[in-house]
Amino acid sequence: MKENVIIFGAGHYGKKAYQRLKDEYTILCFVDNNAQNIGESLYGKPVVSIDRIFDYVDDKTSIIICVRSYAPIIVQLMQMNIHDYYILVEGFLFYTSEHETMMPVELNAALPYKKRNNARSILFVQNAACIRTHKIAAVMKTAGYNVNLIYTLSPPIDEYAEYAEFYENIWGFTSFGGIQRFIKGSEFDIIHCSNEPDILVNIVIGCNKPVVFDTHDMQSIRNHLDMDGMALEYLANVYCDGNIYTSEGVKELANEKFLVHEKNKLVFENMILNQFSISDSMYKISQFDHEIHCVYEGGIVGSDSTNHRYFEQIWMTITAYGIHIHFYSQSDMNYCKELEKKSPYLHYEGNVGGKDLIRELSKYDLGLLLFNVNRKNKDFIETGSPNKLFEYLNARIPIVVGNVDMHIEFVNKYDVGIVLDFDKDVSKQLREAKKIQIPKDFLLENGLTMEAQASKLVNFYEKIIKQYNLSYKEEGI
Amino acid sequence: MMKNAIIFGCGNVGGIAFKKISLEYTILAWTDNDDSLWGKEKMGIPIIQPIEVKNLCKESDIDIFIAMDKCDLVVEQVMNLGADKVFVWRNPFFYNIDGMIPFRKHKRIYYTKQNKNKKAVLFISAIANIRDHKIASLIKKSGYEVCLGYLISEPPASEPEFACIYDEIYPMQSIDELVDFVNNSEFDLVHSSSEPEFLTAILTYSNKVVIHECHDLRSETAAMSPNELAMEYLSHTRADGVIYPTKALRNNALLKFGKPKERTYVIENFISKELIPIHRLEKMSDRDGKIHAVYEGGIVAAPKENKKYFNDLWLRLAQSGIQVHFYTKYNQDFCHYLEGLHTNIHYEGDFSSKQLSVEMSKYDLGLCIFNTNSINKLYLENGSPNKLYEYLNAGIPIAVDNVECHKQFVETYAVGRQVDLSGNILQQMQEISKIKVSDTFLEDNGFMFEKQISGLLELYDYCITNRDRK
Repeated sequence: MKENVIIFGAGHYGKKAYQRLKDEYTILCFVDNNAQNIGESLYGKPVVSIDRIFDYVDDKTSIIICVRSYAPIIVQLMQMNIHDYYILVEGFLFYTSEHETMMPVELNAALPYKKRNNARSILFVQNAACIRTHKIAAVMKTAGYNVNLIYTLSPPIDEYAEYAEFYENIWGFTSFGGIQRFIKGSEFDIIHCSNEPDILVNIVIGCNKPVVFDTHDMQSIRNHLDMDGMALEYLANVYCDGNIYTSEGVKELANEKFLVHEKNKLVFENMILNQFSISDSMYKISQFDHEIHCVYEGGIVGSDSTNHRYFEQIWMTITAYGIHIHFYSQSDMNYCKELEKKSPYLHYEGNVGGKDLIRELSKYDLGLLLFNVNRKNKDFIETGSPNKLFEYLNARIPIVVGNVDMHIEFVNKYDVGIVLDFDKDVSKQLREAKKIQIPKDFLLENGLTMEAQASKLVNFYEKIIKQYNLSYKEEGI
Repeated sequence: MMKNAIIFGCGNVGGIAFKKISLEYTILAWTDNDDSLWGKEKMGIPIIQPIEVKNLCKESDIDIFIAMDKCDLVVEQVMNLGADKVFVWRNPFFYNIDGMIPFRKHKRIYYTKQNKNKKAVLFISAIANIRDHKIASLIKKSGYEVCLGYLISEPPASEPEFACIYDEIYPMQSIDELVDFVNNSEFDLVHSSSEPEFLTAILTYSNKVVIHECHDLRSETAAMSPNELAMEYLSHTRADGVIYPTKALRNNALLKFGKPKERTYVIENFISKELIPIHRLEKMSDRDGKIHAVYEGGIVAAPKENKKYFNDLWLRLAQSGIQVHFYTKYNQDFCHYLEGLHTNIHYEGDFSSKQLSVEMSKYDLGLCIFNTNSINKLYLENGSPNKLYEYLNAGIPIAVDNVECHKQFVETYAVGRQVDLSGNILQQMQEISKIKVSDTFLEDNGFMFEKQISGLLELYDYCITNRDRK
């Protein structure tokens, strides 16, 4: 790729591309088709319309299309007699010219990884490593492993920058083949690969290293997957060397779906890391106004009334009793603001993360774990890992759950919340719930932290490595 | 006793569903939101209103199969009908909406060789096409046992000559059933067709040698999703061997995927011996003195960038005085619309390959002129010029445009010429029509499909002896 770059697309993929390329290339501008974006600036670079592309194109400049549906952009460029461009799809780079089409391009020239000591080395692989992956990496590092990371979409810079230091190395790759060549030549003892999408795990299987596949949310029960997606999910679940699931429910479902009863499987829930335990809870808002303040943190969906995160109806029912609901969300800010207007008891508090969020949560009376359950999303909710639950408990607030068996089971087992019955007086039930005391260090004492489960994880990795090496020897490869 | 089912959707997918599930279920009824179908029958089974389904579900346990490509539009509606289980269609399989668990056959069967000394090959695809059948037939003649696996439909009853090629034919209902069947059957090799691409990728995880037959590098012709790009990569890199329809396409694929050349082979879409016509027809131009050009193959109504979007191109030819005749399987309404653009454009219907080889002999020349632009030109350069062989089989010369591989071919063999569309089209076409094509041109020059099979058998043997995967 040439030294200067024009990024076509100022949306999600364009921004990710900027983060990836800015240190090694000079980004001249963003080109975008959305009239609302034109004239704005993004990371200090102008966003221009395609008519102005020739102000920036010269023989030292490459154009990269960073839009998921790239076909119309190709037609646009063609109409402007531009036949030479790159396409970045989900972090994978392809080059097209008059002589070749969609030729894979690898920008990473890193030498294969060599161990610096005798400790085990793990490679984590994910398009943009998420909080769960970072937490697991942190746990494994503490257990004495060398942890390394490969990403394709974005490095831990924008989000989770604090986790970047855990890793011995972080590499970005731009091609399927590049990843395979690198891993085949490297000295990793095991690879931990996360789903969503299930592409990378299938690239990594077959690199002559044992692969553990970590399913966060099972894609096929959450989203509409096409058959390619269904097949990738199947292959990942069946042909990796070990499967990690976030709950017993997902594990059981995987057994039934993929017939993987005999495989190595581990349930590793989305718990918190000890280091985010807080010692200083904030004052409760209710101490001042004597009203009930509930909190919800997480994604919110307004466009699909069948989605499990479509909360309008549930929240309006609760607020009608004069109960406050405060919500923290990374979802579409405009929708959150609109939602807030629907009741004086609804309060949008912005998007707060990490330790700050835990502290914030502690000022409310109750944490809401109420979803919009229907037959379409029931499986997903029943099998999903309720990480919200651990965050509320970390903030020492009791939990309000709905008609989801695994949530009910949890609050009953530990006596940390109530099951809300909408047919009865909601206000009365919440006032009762508010009285529940969550002891200090509740999660720690009940072994409900990532660290408490570390040995489980270590044993699982070691078993996979041992079995893999044994079969490797047997096959004489 | 078999369980009861109702199929929601009376269209094409409904028909597929019927075949897939009728051995496992008693089909009580069809249902559809199209009220014009209510009260009618399909395959002797009544089509009822969705509201009637609700009543039936109250009386007994019924599973509903939503048989349409956009299932999601009616899932909500079907959920409220009270069915025991609801299955949705994810082409080419059905999944139970609760947990997206695959619909599986109850009984599993495996293939056992009839003769242990023979090699056995499983041909597998969603719907086997004529090329697949041609290859399978020649492999069988070479002494192999040959079976067919399909995901969507078997060779139709209208083409019994294809069905009898195979020792056994197996429908596949789910991914795990497919892998289990292949793993536990006595095949030496699996020959997988490229569509759908995921089929090969899945099979490469089985314990058998897998040959991937690539009809088309889709990343070169269409915008693909990340999942599709990954599938294309996996099927090419993981298969033990790959077959391409042209050398150019193979060269591109070698660069893209880094596959060793010895694991690849090219089978061009040459004409089979049985398609050589026994006689020629009288030329239309002998009667009316006009120039009659023919096109056979796909056409599209949109988008305008497509190589087979012919509206403007054919109008130009027609306005130049050329009679343009076309044969296609494409939607008849559009064909009539296209014909209506000019009195010199004639839609001739859809003929079988065998009929076409005779029928096309009455024209003066074959059209191998596409709607080229920089997006599709490369594809045409790499694609299989099977149209050329079909025109030559009918004994007519060819008019080509600026696609290099077409130009080179007609010039090398003196069977046609490039047309400069900005020049005098009629005059150029008249010149081309004078070129004589020998009745034995294809045979004389080795362009016969059968000639390629020995090379394929060598690839099979090479891959069986040198497994590429763990």
